[in-house]
Amino acid sequence: MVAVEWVDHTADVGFRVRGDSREAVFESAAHALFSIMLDVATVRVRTRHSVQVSANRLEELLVEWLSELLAQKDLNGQVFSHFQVNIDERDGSYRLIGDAWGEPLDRDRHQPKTEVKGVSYLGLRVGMEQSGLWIAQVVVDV
Amino acid sequence: MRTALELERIGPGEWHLPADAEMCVPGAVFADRDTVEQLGRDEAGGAQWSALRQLRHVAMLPGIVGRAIALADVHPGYGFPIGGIGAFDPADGVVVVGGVGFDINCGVRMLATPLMRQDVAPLLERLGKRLFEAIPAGLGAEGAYRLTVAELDQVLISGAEYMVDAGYGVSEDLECIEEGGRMTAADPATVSQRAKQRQFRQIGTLGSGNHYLEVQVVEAVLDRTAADAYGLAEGQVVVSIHTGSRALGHQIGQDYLKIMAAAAARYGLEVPERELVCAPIDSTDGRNYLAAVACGANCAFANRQMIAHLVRSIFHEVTSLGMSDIRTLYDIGHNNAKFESHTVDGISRQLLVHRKGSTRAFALGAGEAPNAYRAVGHPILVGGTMGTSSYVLRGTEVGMRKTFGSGIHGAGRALSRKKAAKKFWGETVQTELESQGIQLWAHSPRGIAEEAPGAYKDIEQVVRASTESGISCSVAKLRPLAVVKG
Repeated sequence: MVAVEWVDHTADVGFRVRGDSREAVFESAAHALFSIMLDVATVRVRTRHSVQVSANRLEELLVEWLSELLAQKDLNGQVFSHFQVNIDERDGSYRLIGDAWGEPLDRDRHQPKTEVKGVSYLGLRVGMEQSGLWIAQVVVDV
Repeated sequence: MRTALELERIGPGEWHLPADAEMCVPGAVFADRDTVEQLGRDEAGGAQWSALRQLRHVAMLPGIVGRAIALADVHPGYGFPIGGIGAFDPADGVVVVGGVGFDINCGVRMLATPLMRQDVAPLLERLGKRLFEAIPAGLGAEGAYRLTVAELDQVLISGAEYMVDAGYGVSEDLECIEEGGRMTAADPATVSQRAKQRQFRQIGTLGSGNHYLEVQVVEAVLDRTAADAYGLAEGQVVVSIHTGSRALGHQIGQDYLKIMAAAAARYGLEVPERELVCAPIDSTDGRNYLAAVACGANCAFANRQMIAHLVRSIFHEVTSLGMSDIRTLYDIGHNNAKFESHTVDGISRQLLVHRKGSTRAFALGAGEAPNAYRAVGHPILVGGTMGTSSYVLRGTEVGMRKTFGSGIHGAGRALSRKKAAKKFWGETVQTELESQGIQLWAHSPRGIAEEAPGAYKDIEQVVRASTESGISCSVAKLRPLAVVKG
């Protein structure tokens, strides 16, 4: 179970996730993204989609990762419920190699909610809090 | 500690946001007192996202002309406030991704039927059911109409015209679509392959969230001359389609957010909020983005054209109407950036006008409206909620002078989706609507709760504020009979 803190935004949906590593918050953010669109608990682990994205900043890397997963819904009809990522830093740039597991969207079984249109830069944040926990904040357009 | 922004009332329904040292121009809000008080509370309470703060950010962007404007349906967006308008000088101004958003040219198509309420009443249940079955809506819904890569490029170039040529409509439709259903600046080479691949199965789909299809009845005519020009009469049945450019537009928005972030850094443009990443209008990045926006806009026109075709097919099947008996009254977007001519301080200037959740609404005599409408001004199609009225307004001279010819696009949200989902139950909302004689056909109970009428501002108040300030005039009030949601 991923603990998501929903951040109030009148038109769109904002969320905050925390974890003990930057990888953990990237995974939780992906989980939160799909939970806006459907009941993630009903998505079985049947297929794997591998992702490789890079960016100069962690915040942009997070947008790349989430928008890559979001696009799969339209490209291959896939939705996901489990995620695993590795992030490394090289020459001032970040690279993410990750996997997402799920199955084709089933409109009867997955209890669809609202489609996410895009991952915005509004209030975008990835960082470590004083407590030592990592935090990521994202607002998506629905 | 930031100083809370405060608005000054300068006339009926018109409020002024004075320019501070960082703003290039002042701001203006055309709204009712309740809306203004809410904006003030969000500001003073240090709300994480304040629409007034976002309006100030827009006023800080280089090359902005006149005033940064918000209308009565204003609420916080990303970058621009929703219900926001910003006009920029093409020579030294910028084009802003957040001024258009992810759902490029999301808008409303209104179809006028020759049927009256009593004609439709006995058929309404079947009509609603068949529209719900025939029009793909909700997460993951796919259209029956499939395209090859080459065909999709043609859609991006020709918009609604392509669909009409393919047999999904009549040439008269094009006369009643903004830009004739085709923005000529479109260049498919500026759109990524991924954006195109995401769209293959989505032409003719409604989407979810606030998108809808409604069978409505004209409950009251409020301006006889304009209603006559638009062909609207009391008791008449119309259909409104609210949707946009689907995954293609979403991906263009996502792609260009990244491209413009790099461009803003390259051009040394400091943006007050990251979502306002931008590029000079007169730059390769700026031109490419506008060409891609035109592709997204054309995709939205084509999408609404296809859904209009499906609506006609269902009316033909359920009622005695022929396909050509249903007329396109108007089709206009509310998320766009377009070059337009406006008079500023007595001088006519070409400007790039961004409208994020705002409808273009030119006054009488202005070009680009169907001939029959030029004597009264452009129709503004204002979507209410599934349980409340929608409105047809018209553009005015005051609007031309004060809002770059723009009007409201809806009621505007008051509650977040999470709060709405907590407060309302989908099933209860459905029962309540049924008791008011409104049929609701929806794919997602959760979606109904998020879109409950109570999650929105009072449309009557929002419309009143728009007409009080003189930027728009009311033409007709519509009441929903059957609602299809994603």
